[in-house]
Amino acid sequence: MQRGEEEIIDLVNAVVDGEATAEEETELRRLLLTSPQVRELFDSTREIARRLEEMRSLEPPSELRRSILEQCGGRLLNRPVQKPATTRRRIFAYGWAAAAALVLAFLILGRRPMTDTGATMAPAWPIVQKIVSERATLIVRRHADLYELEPVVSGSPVSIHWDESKLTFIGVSDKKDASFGKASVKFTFHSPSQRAGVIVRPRDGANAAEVRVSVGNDEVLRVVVSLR
Amino acid sequence: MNEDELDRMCVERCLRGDTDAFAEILDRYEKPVYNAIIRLGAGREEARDVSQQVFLKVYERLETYDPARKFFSWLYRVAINETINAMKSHRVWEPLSEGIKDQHPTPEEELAANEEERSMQKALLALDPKYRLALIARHFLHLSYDEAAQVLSVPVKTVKSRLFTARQLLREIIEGQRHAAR
Repeated sequence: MQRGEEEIIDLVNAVVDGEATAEEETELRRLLLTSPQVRELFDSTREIARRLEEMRSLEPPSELRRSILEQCGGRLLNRPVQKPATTRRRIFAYGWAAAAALVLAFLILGRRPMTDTGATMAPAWPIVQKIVSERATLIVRRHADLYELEPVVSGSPVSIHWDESKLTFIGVSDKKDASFGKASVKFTFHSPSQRAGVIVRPRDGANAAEVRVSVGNDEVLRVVVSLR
Repeated sequence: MNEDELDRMCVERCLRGDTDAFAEILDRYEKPVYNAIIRLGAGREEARDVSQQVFLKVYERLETYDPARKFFSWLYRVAINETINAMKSHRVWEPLSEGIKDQHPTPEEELAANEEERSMQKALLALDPKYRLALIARHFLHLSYDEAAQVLSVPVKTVKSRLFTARQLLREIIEGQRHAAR
């Protein structure tokens, strides 16, 4: 393979990967007849490619799709308003879409989206725990297997951290200025009356999980929330 | 209408609040994304969680998608970044073979094929992630060199050389496994 080893490698790869032109294929065919090294390189590359292609394609778990769509439905509420509609028909279409999104989110989450003042538009999930400390309160609400963790603290930004080996993040009850970490959500509020919570689901039969609440970098509450 | 146009139309519909459009995106990409994550080294549970994060992130960031680019290339890039981040934060994922062990029950006649696959998975996991990524882009996401270069953010030349090295290394690892088994 004295003649441009790199060039020959590119040629072999291109043919194996189906990216070669007709001329390149002809050139490789000619080389295969005259060079045992090129033949060996081609055979081994093609064999490995074949074995990779034959690895089976795994089916995703059936609940994955449903779970993604449920969460997307919940997040429709948080999507910024799109460009203004230009025709009456579009206004109706957008209106119906927004209404459908609200109904969908309400049906899925079965709860109230909070307003800036903390007032509610629909019944809240029932409180199952209220953990009070000197510096913060954590209200735990439950609906089916979903839990909402809502801290009541003064200050901003407020972060909620949870044990991700015990809890799977599902969404936030009110996005506001929320930013997401690996196992945490930080809310930056612009008025003291704003409130928001994290919606989570227990993982693998977990019956308790640690939750931490911070204001800025200052941890104000660390509790074990029971999940039953 | 080609896949690309279909994707762009779905994105547009999603941005108007049509969740059915996102279901169509899932129809096309849920399986390849899930498989790519598994082949990158995740167990089934991690692959499920990371897949979920990927699609939620994509959904939340649809406004930032540039229609001048191919949608799948943007989506796969998010998927690969999320997977790499998850790998870093979890440090070690369960071995790939463990990850797929609880697949649907396998008939006896498939045992030999499964053995072959286990040995391939083991070899894949032994590769440096940059080589594994090149193989996944080509053989599991079925991307062209140009597309793989976009998704992996490297020049086409690098994709080619990584693919070549990855296959050579894979062959050596498999041969090593054979010798060890004797």
